Amino acid sequence: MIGDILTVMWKDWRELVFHRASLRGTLASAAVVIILLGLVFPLRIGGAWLGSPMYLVYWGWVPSMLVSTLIADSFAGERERHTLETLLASRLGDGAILLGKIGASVVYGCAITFALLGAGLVTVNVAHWAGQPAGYTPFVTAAAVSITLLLSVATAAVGALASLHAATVRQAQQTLNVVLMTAGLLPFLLIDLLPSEMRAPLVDWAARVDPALWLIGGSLLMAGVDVTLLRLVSRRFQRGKLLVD
Amino acid sequence: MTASAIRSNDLTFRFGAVEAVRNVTLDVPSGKVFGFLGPNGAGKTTTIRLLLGLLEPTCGTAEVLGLDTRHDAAAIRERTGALLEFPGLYERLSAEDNLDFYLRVWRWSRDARRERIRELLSHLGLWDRRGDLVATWSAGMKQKLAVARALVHRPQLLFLDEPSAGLDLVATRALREDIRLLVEREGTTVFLTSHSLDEVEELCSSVAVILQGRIVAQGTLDELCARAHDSIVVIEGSGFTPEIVRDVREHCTVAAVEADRERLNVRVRPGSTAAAIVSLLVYAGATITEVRSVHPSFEQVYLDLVEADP
Repeated sequence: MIGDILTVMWKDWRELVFHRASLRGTLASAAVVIILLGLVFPLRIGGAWLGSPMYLVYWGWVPSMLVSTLIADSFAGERERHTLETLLASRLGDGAILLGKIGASVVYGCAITFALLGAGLVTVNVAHWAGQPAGYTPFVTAAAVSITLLLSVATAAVGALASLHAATVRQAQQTLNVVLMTAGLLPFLLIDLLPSEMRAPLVDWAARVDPALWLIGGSLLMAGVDVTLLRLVSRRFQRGKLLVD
Repeated sequence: MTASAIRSNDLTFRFGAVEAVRNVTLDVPSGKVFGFLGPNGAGKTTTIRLLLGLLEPTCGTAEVLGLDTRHDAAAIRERTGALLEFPGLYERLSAEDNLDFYLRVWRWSRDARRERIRELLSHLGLWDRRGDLVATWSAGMKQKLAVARALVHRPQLLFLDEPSAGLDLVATRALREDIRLLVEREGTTVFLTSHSLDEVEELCSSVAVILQGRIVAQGTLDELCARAHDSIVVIEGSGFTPEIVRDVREHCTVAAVEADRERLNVRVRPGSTAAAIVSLLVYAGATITEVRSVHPSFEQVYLDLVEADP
């Protein structure tokens, strides 16, 4: 099973790297992200880039964005290019195809995000040398890694769901964008809807809770969401339905 | 290996109100090329999907290589190869990578993959362009590669859905030779759909004809020709005037007549013989030098089946 998953991932990456137009677009967007989050921001913010939890928001946004560009293509792209049926007629199991597609996107998103974390670290140390090497705080490291991994998986699972039954990559991408935007704005909307007499104590309580507890609780919650989404997409993956659609 | 590579019984697939495949009962012998014929939209591709276990039949059963399509679909796909409606090639990959991917899927070792890719691409005359993106290739080259992709892992049973579509004459001939050698040397069973009746006559030991989801004929080519309702009587001689030809055409035992000055091809109705027509010709003053009865060609049999379908 692992070998089959890796085979599907190999193929998807190979397609990404070898398709010159796609590669140009990917490299261009990656270059913009690297310049902004690996160079400009760390350069301007300095040492706080490595230690302030405020900047963790980037490590949720970046992998989701990167994963979404790849995962929308996963099934809808194969369908659009008439390669899906041949893939489904091979000996690959459902799990291998699905996890291979999701894995390719997740690893791609995580790899670039971790590279950005590394680039930021180098930039801060070079531009703001304080006599000794500086590093991310343990909290920021743990939070960045868990946020990146968990949000990548969630985005990939939602993207696979959108891509499974979409007729075109564009349709899958649009559906995924709507879902991601809704999911991103929903917490703010819910807080805004709360009566003001409830909002203030809630914000006060949230500020008093240990950030480590927030991280552990949030990660567990997100892991639960990931498992649920993966189960859902696994149930929706039916060869016959994919062909009939 | 079982005596039958494929055996289906009343295989049916409904999609909403449409009955795409109706009570299809097939018996495909092992180690032979089996032709599966029918016009576009007759249900050929759906039948292949059912046999590969990609679709679950609404009712009926099918066994492929002795395995049940409902319960052992994965094992069936492990042992089969398929060239379906589209070539199924990754155009953003090179030819080498396309074959390499499917060999990895079938868990071939690195050395074995390399050797097999060289063998196939060299044989097809594509080795020099192995590194080019498939998107830059002609339709014929892609089709050749697609056939190679379907058989790259040496399957026991190969489904080929119109494999010669888009190929030039030379490539078509080479493909037919390859299919023949594959069956002879490796004992592979080939389930072939084709609109080329020449191809079918050249390669297939037996065939089935599907129309509107139903099998309307099945057997060897000779059996199908012999079973044809009408038989053809060839009458050679002279004096076949337009009036005489008209009289023959209007005779109650005659279905159709093709005529020239010295030859009549008369299709006689079931149960009728040439005697009455010969008498008619002699009485009308024609000279007859030879009378022989022949079965209609396979093409004629096929066209009759298709045209007879409501």
